[in-house]
Amino acid sequence: MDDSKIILCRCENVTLADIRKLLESGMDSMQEIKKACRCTMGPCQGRTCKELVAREVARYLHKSVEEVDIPVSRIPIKPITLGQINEFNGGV
Amino acid sequence: MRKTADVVVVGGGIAGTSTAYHLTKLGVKNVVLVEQQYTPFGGSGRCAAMYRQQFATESNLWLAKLSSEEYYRLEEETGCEDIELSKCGYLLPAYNKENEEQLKSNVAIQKEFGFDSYYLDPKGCKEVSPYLNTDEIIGGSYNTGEGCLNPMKVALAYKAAAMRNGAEFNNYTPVTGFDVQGGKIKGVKTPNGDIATDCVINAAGEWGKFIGRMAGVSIPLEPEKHQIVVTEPVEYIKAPMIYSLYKYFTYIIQVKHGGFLMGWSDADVKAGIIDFEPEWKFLENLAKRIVPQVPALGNLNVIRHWAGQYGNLPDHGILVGGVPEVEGFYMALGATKATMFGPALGTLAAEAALGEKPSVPEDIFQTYLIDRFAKGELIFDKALL
Ligand SMILES: Cc1cc2nc3c(=O)[nH]c(=O)nc-3n(C[C@H](O)[C@H](O)[C@H](O)COP(=O)(O)OP(=O)(O)OC[C@H]3O[C@@H](n4cnc5c(N)ncnc54)[C@H](O)[C@@H]3O)c2cc1C
Ligand code: FES
Repeated sequence: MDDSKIILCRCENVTLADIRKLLESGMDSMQEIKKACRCTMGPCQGRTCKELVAREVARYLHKSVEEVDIPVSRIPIKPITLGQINEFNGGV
Repeated sequence: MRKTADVVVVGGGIAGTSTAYHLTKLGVKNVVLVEQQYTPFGGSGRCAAMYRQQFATESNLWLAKLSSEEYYRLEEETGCEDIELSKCGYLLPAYNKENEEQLKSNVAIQKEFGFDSYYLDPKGCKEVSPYLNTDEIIGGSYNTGEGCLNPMKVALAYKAAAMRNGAEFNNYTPVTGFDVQGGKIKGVKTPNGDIATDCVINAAGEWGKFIGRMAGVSIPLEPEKHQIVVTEPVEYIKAPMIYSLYKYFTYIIQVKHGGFLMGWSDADVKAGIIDFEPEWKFLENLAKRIVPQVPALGNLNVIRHWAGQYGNLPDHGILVGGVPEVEGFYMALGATKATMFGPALGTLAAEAALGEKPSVPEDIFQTYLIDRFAKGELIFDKALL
């Protein structure tokens, strides 16, 4: 199948071809790949795609997944609006 | 990793990657950059993505000029496809006559310098910033040369271009000490090996003081924590950053990718330490301050919240050039605004370390050097928070 049709990160629409291109340009850090294309930075915060991307990076670099610098997740884990936060505090 | 270098740059943020790039542009063959994590781990990957021209001192206006001009041509220069630059401007609202006077005087200085700055009435503010609630403002200053960009792509673009020019970049390589002999720099120590060199440039941003300390050099720079959030992306509407300098101490900007970045400057923040923990208290304060300004933002999901630091010098300026204590030890620091000043910082730091003529007038260049602190010649910019 065409790598540019295989979507690894749905939130940010990043394909296998995009990740390969970055790896081929010489990037060997998943953190830098993330910063370059925003994979794992979408609304699901990488819950769907982090493993998939890490596996691709590991495979390309002939490393194990444990050796890849996988980004950490940040709060808030569940998306929340500023309006909801104001409500918790008794309104504006 | 190379064992020797003409110049070693410490830190792979925008300041360091830009410095490395400019060194190679000036013909230095063997530039080695060492970064404790990856590019960009520090402020450059955590900031609000803005570059600015609305300043009130010549020192800052010159930095803005060099920087914005380089940002306009950066894609062409580095071969990066898209740095997501938008000349969306900043809008600094005035809430009373005193604010208005100050902003009008800033605009006059900026115009005189050659920048496209304007003072707008509330109707004009609404036109450029359709979602801003203008009920409580009496006007605002605005500029059409400044705006937002993607700082992560900028740092990686400088890195790629410097590597193409022969520089070596080493991730996960923290500097742990320096070899200083007879008051001269001789080498850099890292867990991955030592690098012999006569020239080191400290571009460690908010860590700049700690790097200085390792060489026995004292730098009056303090980290200061700042937090920020981003919302889910929505359709991009080009509009200025709403920078509430006088009332809410907040900023609101939709970047080209679609998310809104928002932050608040907490005057009571503990300075002096590096702390990446986001705090719930910040979200509460932010919500209270943002919703009255742009009510629609109350409905967007916040998907990430993180913390980073400024690395403030006493006058919030930049610092390039050498130091009295150690020969061969140079600076590329300016981590209150190193994203917007990245191009200028890299240019001036490289020129200073190589002893070349600076790209700004000599009297302006003097205001970026370390001896200004001992002389007490600090210049404060009224256009800054
Ligand atoms: C929330 C927030 C919003 C901001 N908004 C803006 C904005 O809109 N516009 C703007 O211009 N500025 C903004 N800033 C400030 C800006 O982020 C910083 O000034 C800038 O990113 C600093 O860049 P730098 O390259 O100097 O430092 P950094 O990007 O921090 O890079 C320094 C690097 O040095 C490395 N390092 C540290 N110690 C060592 C060691 N021992 N060995 C090797 N490497 C080391 C670090 O890992 C780091 O990568 C903001 C900051 C924050 C936190
Ligand atoms: S799928 Fe990648 S961030 Fe959601």
